[in-house]
Amino acid sequence: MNPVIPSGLNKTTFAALISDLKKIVGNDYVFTDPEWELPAYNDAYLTTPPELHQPSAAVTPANTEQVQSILKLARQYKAPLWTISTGKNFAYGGPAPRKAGYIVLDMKRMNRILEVNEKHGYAVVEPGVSYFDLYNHLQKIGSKLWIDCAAPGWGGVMPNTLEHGVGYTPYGDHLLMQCGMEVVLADGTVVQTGMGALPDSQTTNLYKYGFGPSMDGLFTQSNFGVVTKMGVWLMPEPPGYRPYMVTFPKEEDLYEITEIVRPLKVNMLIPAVAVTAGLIWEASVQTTRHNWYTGKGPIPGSIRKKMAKQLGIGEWNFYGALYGPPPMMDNNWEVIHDSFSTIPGARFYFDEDRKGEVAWEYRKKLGMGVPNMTEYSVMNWIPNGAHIDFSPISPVTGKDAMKQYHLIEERCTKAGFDYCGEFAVGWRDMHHIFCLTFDRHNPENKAKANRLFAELIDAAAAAGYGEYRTHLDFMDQIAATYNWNNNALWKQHEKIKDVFDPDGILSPGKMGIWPKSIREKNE
Amino acid sequence: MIKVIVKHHQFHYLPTVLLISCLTLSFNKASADEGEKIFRQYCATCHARGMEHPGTMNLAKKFGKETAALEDRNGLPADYVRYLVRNGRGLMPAFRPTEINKKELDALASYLANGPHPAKQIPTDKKVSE
Repeated sequence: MNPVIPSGLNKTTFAALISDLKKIVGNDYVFTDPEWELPAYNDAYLTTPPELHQPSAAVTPANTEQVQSILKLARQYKAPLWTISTGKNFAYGGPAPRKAGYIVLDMKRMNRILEVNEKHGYAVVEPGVSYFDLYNHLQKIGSKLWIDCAAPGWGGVMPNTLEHGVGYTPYGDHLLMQCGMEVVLADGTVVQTGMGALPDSQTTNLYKYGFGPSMDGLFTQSNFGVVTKMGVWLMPEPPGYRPYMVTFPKEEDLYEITEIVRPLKVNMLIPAVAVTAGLIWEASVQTTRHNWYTGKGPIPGSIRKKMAKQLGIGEWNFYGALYGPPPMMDNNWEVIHDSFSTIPGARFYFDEDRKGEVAWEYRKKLGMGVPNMTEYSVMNWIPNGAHIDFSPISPVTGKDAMKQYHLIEERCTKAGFDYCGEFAVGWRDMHHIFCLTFDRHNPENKAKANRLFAELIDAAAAAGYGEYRTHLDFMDQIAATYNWNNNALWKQHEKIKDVFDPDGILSPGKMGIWPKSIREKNE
Repeated sequence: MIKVIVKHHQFHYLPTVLLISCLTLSFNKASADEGEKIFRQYCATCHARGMEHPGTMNLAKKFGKETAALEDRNGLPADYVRYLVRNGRGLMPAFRPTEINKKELDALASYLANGPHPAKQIPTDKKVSE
């Protein structure tokens, strides 16, 4: 891979910048080798050529002061930085920058767990702390607090929250459980949000909103600052945990499942994020497509029935869990069981029924915040599997669930891909996650996946559905769908960008928010 | 090489040779421990024994279940390990030097090159259930 340099710099100024960066962080923490260091800063699951996202360098600070110094240099050289933390945002771009030539600001070295407060149930972490790190630390100190992790446990506590990620315990809405941030602005100012702005504050990580405008959201899915610390609320271990699974035999059962889940969620009888996973999702974490069908095109209905029977799964598979004292769990279960029993063919399972099964075990772990990597096996479904996730938000209704399912499944099948999806119900919304798995070594297959994804964005937007998060390559397209009132919202984002970061050094193009200099070039 | 020196200059060099051997053994042990630690921290989540680990599930297709876990492989070439860690392969993305630095990568490569590493037997009374 040939070296690249940031747009606007030449070889001489770039070499000077690298030299100055080394003076800040040390020689060992600036990476420029395109053969041995920088390939790991690209995205393993691209549907576009890797050259489009190849960084020129990476720099990794050890503390907030070094972050300030790096930003000062970037302003001086007008050099674009791309901030990553644990760098595991795979399916959405991983550690790769939006454009070639950016310098990756890799926050992984800042990986301290600064505080665990057992009494009030929170932790304060730096950007590089992974779910595995926090979980292991809590185990080591004998804490009775749980974490809530994303399905791939190597993800980061802070970066996943900043990307609006979700987990699978009652604390699954990660941004809701965030409390307090330290942010370095592009001009080097360090800001404490919320109650942290009060010197010697006693409630920095206890009350989210502070006094005056709540700023925390501005630093999520954005490029307005570099977050260097974050408070996260942790759930006390409940007196009881009883995960369950309900399988449903028919495709059209999704309608009724969703109608049943809504009141159970709204009334908090199902306290955690409630997941309804499709047949292929369930099969792919434990078997391969080749195990079932070697032909091309969609898997025939007869084979799907065979898969369901042999794996003991359904066309749809609902995962939930009971939390609390046993009498409370018993009562809640009665309501949940009676509700789902109205669907013909529903089958109910507890731990003793499925113990040791791969798909069950990882869901059981996720429901109690035990990080693992099992879900990555969805990519084992096909040879050289890689994936990007299309994730529109839906109301929690049967009608919308079926509409979204058909919208995606029909286009997906037509394009020659298997529909691998799940619906995750939060407080009032439903995240529909379509895991678009393609062969990363097959250029034609990658191009098809790219075209399908773009088509889905437009089709979903036309139906009134927007995505909550996306891959680098589709940020501009999705941002353009949020265009009500002549793009009023994105124009506001641009105004904020121009005030917060007038030199446009922080993650240009993140979520389709470009600095003024680049917007003017593109006009 | 050391054996030859010992044979011809047994008495004269023996203390030095023993010292070097001890140091080498000590270094190798330290390096192996470091390699195993890195393996546990970064690799085992996908490559430990058991089909719940996506890397193991993937490699089972090629090598069979018995040798699908990396610690069951017979002497993976160290350079191959280094290359895969820095470049990724299949569903495995590459690891950045901020995750596994050069020294740690050398230790990891050495650990896997010296495989297989049979599963350690944990006394029954020390086993902890989840």
